[in-house]
Amino acid sequence: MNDTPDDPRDPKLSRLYRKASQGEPPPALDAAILAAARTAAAPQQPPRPWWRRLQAPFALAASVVLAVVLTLSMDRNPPLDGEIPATPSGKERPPATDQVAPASRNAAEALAPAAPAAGIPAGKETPRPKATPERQTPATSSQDSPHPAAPTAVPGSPGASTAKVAPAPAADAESTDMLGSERRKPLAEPALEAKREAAAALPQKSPEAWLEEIRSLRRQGRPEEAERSLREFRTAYPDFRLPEDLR
Amino acid sequence: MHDDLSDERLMLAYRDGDTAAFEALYARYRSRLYRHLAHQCGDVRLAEEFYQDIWLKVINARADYEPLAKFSTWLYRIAHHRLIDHYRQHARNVVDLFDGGIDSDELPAADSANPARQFERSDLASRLTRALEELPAPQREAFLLAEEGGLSLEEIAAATATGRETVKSRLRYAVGKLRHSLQDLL
Repeated sequence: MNDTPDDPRDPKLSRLYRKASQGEPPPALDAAILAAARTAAAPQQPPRPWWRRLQAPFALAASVVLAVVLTLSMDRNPPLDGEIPATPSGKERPPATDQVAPASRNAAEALAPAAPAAGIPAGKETPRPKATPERQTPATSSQDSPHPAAPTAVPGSPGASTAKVAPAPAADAESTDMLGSERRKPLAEPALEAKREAAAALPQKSPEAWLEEIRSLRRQGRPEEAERSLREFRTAYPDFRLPEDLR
Repeated sequence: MHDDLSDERLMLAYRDGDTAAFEALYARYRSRLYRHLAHQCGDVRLAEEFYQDIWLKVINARADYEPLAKFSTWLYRIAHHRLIDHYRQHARNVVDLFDGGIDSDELPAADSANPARQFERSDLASRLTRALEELPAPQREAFLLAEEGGLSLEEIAAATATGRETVKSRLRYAVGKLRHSLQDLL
């Protein structure tokens, strides 16, 4: 205590002080402090770096920006005919070879078991539309068609190359297509609207009849008229897959 | 297990997650620090508040603790700063005493002229408490750091951020006044 010669402490006073000094912290205060000490010493997760903490918000923002950019891009630059994947949704799913109007599709489904691919005459060429339901135009809705899931790709027919599928259960094909179309739907929607409007403004004419007219013009040696009519046809039915002889 | 370790080793062990080391350290200083504060501020509730604040500062500073000085010096330095903060808010004139702007030896104690309180303190502890209260705050602090904290003059100087000679002077005045007040008990 009195560690140096010039230390002014008085041993007698120190003894008196120790004898008289009293006071203890209350037990509740002890408990609170010890609890705080234990809590502070408990192992804690190391703080994540800032870029890890902001990972989720950044990912979300990037997704939103990507979706907006893609939507705008599709809106301003509609894809060409060949770019739209042939994956119709479950509701508006067209048949493998023919266009099916939503209204007539139910009836076609009812006939499906009786309309296998083998039942279709090989020589009957049925123009194959793009199978994307969003791209169907009102003008195509009046056509008959076999069941969507019925294997309609006839070897040698124009649609055979793309619809060369084995007979599959309708439910399987439909569920797969539903998934695909649900994903693609938001992207193709703006272009679809524009094409629908364009098609609605044109005179209604059966695509098959029109194509037959074009063939007829060609056979009659009127290629300019046939070409013009074909251009009009493509304008009216941009999604209609042309038979190979007219491509 | 922890009894043989120095204060600094205990604090380092607590820094590394050993809560038992903190409990041992706390047991060593709980009474001393509490009495130091109780005598220094003269108010039990205030002393308890300061006491908790000081220990929480120790706990929160554990991650950066390095034994650059004795643990007791560090602990009482925290206590000194806490008291100074209190004085700055509630008793500006006391801060001036610590700063040396006023001749502290000439100042009367706050409660020395209170007859009611003098009457209450008839036993030894009360006499001691009253005698301590009559001291100016810097002198009282120097005495308490020496007696309760067991600090040397150099350590008191480090804890209170003053010079050794200043501490020595304050302590000499404090001892002289206390001896005078308690001479019949010595």
